[in-house]
Amino acid sequence: MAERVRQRVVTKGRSFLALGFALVISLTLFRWSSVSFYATPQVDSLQNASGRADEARCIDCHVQAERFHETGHANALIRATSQDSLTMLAQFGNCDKARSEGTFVEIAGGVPHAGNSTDAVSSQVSLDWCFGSGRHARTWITTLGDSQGATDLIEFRWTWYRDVDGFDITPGQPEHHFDTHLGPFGVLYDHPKARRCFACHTSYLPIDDGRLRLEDVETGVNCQRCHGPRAEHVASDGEIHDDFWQTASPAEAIDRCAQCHRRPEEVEVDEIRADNPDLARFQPIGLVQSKCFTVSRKLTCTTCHDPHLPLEAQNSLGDWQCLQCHDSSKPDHTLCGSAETENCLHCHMPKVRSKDPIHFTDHWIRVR
Amino acid sequence: MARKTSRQTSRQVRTATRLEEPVRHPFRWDWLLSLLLLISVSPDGPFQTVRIIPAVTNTVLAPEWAWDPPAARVSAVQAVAEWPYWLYTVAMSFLIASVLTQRAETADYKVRLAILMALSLLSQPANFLAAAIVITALKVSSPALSGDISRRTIASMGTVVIAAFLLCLDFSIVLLALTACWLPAADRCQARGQIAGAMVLLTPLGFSEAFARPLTWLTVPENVLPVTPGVGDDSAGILLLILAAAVVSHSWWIVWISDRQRPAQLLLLAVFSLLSLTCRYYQFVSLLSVVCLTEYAAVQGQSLLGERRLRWSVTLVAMLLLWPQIASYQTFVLTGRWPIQFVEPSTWETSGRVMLMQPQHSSRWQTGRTGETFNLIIDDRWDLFRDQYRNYQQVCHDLSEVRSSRYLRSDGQWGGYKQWTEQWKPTLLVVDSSDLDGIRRLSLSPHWKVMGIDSHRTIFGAEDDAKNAKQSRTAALLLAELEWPSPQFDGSFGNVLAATGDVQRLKVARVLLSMRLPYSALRVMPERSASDDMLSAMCHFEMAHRVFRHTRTHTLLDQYRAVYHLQKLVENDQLSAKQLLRVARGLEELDEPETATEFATQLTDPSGSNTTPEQQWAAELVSRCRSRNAEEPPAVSDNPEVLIRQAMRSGDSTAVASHLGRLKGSQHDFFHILADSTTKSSEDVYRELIGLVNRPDFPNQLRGEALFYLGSLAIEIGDSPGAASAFSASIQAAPAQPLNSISRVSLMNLQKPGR
Repeated sequence: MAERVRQRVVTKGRSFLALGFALVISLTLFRWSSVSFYATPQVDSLQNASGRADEARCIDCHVQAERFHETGHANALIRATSQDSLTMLAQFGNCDKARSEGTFVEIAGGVPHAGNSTDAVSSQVSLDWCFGSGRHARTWITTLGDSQGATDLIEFRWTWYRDVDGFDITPGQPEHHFDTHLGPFGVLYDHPKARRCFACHTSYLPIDDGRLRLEDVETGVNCQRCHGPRAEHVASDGEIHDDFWQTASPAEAIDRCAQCHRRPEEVEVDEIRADNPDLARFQPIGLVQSKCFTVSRKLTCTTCHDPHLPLEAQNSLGDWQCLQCHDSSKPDHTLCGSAETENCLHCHMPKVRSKDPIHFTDHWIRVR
Repeated sequence: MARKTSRQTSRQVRTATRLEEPVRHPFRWDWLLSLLLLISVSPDGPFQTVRIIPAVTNTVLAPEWAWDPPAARVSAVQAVAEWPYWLYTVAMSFLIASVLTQRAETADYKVRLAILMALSLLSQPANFLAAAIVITALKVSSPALSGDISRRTIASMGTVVIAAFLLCLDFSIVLLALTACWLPAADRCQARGQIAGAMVLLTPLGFSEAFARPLTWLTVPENVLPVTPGVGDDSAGILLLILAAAVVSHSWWIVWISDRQRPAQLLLLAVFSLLSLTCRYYQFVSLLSVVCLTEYAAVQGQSLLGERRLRWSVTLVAMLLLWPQIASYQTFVLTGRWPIQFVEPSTWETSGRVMLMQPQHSSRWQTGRTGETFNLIIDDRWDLFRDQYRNYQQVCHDLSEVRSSRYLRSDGQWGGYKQWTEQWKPTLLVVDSSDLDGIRRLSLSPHWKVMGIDSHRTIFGAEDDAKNAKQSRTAALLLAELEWPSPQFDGSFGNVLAATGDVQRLKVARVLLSMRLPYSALRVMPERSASDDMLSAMCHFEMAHRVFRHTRTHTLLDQYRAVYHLQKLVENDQLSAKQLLRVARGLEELDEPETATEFATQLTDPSGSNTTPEQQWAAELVSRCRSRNAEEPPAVSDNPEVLIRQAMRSGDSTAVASHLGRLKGSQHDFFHILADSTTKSSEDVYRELIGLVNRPDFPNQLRGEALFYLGSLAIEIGDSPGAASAFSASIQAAPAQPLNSISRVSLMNLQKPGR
């Protein structure tokens, strides 16, 4: 009897033991299998393919999408072989400065190549992409790969400027080119810089082990670049809605635009000064220095600009925005010292020429 | 015949005697074996300083409530907190041997040796106090185990508990281990309620985070702190995990066959088994506890002969582990000094905050002068930084991707490291030397300059920190010397590079290659051996790329050597999928679509079911190259020189040999020398090429190119005057050749004033 009881106790104990051992093994295997969950860092939203909707669907419901294709944002990047690019490159021969350096552009079979020939030394590169909408300027680049296939680029030394309707040296490049075989074509940028260039001119930029998959890229800034992946929104007929742009604070909203148009922390502190003409190129930096922003705390880029429309169709040049805070009919408003009531931008946001043949509206709104 | 029979009989008698003899001096044996194993796993020899008692937290991001073991705050204790590694090995092996000796009577020798190996190889200096306390607990509780629950025994046990609390960061796991040790006596101990109550009272004394460490490690991101053993480990790490699993499984078997199975014992066994298999930080203490919990049964008929054989096998394993360090021991014996294995940042005249991309290596930065000079931004104290690791991981990810400015992440948060590094202000950034991709990208960053490289770490300094200027300039000069050596270069690495043994040199060479310094990598890598073929082929591949990237011209010498050897490595299955894809992509960039296709098709599935990312990318590459070939078919020529150039670019030695026969005179000799470069040393090729270019019949149209190759070979073998004169002559011989662009850069570096 006692032996049977003992046997039963032992059997029961062994059941617990087997259960315990199985639990240890299961938890060990679970831990090992779940390790990758803890190891995944968040990626750049530009690389995220999941949840993206077909851009062509936006126009089905949103009137704002009708003219979006005309905007500068939509055309921030085009292939060098596209007609717009080839038309501009056809003018390259008129650039005396480039000709004096021996640089020329040839278009063979619809593919543009830049060549250079001096003292019997000749060199050639293909032009692959054209950056910029052409509202101010356009710059071409050549892509190269390093020994592991990561994408580098050569920024073409010559940029087309609307102000002069012709070519001149690309902003930021030296007056005299480097004395190397490819020096006449511009400056070679390595992979991190090449990625930065494309990141601001695309809306989907897949990267495989350092190689930019430019064959799959979504060029220009499109709806989902600012509004995020919208597959769920489309699938739910608009029921699922991201209200970021309705609820974001002015600082957050400006921050989104400044991702490409530059933030104050991305330039040297001593560059942020009123007499720096090059600052006008980086509109958000000027804007956040303005009293209109620092005092009102309401002003954002979209106060004046409607990014869904081309610039000429926007009502961004009028005075109605200024009058919301500077209306002469309202006694508590601060008014213009020179008693002007219209054409505010002429004095307070003039167009400023940088070192290069290019004008930008100075967004540092101030008394000059 | 009679003599032979007598000898056989005497051998049988001796063997029988051995089988019956008790084990002699098991403690001494165990101690020596453990000592040998501990020394063999030391990364930089027995003279390094290691920390036994935890340092007081001084990390930048540590919260104010950070808890440290109380004794660590006593200066007198800190004075003895750091020990030389040899002292630690002597003490730790003593402890391990003492545990095993207690089980010498009961445990099978095979099990004992397995435990010995597992404990010795898993132990860390930070575990020493925990091990000492657990083993002391075993000693003081032995009267209790035999039924003597005197006040003295209870007082001794209480003292051990207090010591654990005062000295150990992971006191909770130590307390749990103590419970495991005393469990056999617990049934007889009338004071167990009081002891349990005291332990409960200790919990909420303001260090609940530290107390919960044995649970909270589960939330640590593996990328920041690799806590799970076996994940990402090399084969040695996997074998060690298997050994630990074997010891654990054996303990479960012992419990299975025993009649006494108490729930508390089972619970503790389960907890420690789980920890020893899943948490790197608790492997040692947990395994020790598993051993302590197990009531090994006496084994009959143990064979002393078998035990001796097994002991010698373990000794052999230890010797094999020790083998990579043998050169260091030789140097020590000959010179009396241990060769420098690590660069020493405390000698760089800089100080400040250090950002470790891999915080698991924090102990090295909290020891000795380095600990006084620098303080870490974050370390491996997950009880303090648990919530911050995820953000830290993102910042490290952005650093290794050189993402300085803010960008929108897929979770809607802002990425970009600058916003964080401006707050944290790191002076140094420390990257694991095996993170070659991160090092490659960081070497291109304008914000970080390399300061020092060893086989474990590559250290970058913040470019805008004036304190780093001197060392970063010294490092830049040394790297320039390695890449383009001056006649005065004596080959010493100063305090910029540390690489003494062959294994270490190979690791540092890989780092240099990842920084696009192929000549430096060749100079640092050890004498050529079969295992280095991959590295030297990749060095030549990088050289070929450097020339093509800047001149759009192929260098036959480098490209042929590289592609030929890479093909051999592919034939022998020596390239990983990632390496194969990168080579294929590199060849595509070298304008060799057909050869790139050949490499990429090694990866793709013939049935078209490409499942891994590498296979899919390889398939895309093949498709790209084929469409490129269709659009721009390669020019067809019957010119033997054109054909041999094509063959060399694609590494096709058979075609090279066949076309070579159609060439004559000096032209033939030139390509013959290049063709032989795959089998001859660089020195031999260099000598042959010198003889050729000096021949009056050498054709002028090849002279510029031949002199360029001569200059490249001269750099490779370290003949800087020869390189300078060859490059100058190359420019003179062919003023219009694209290669001159590289020749001028090399000349500028070789003739830089002040070098």
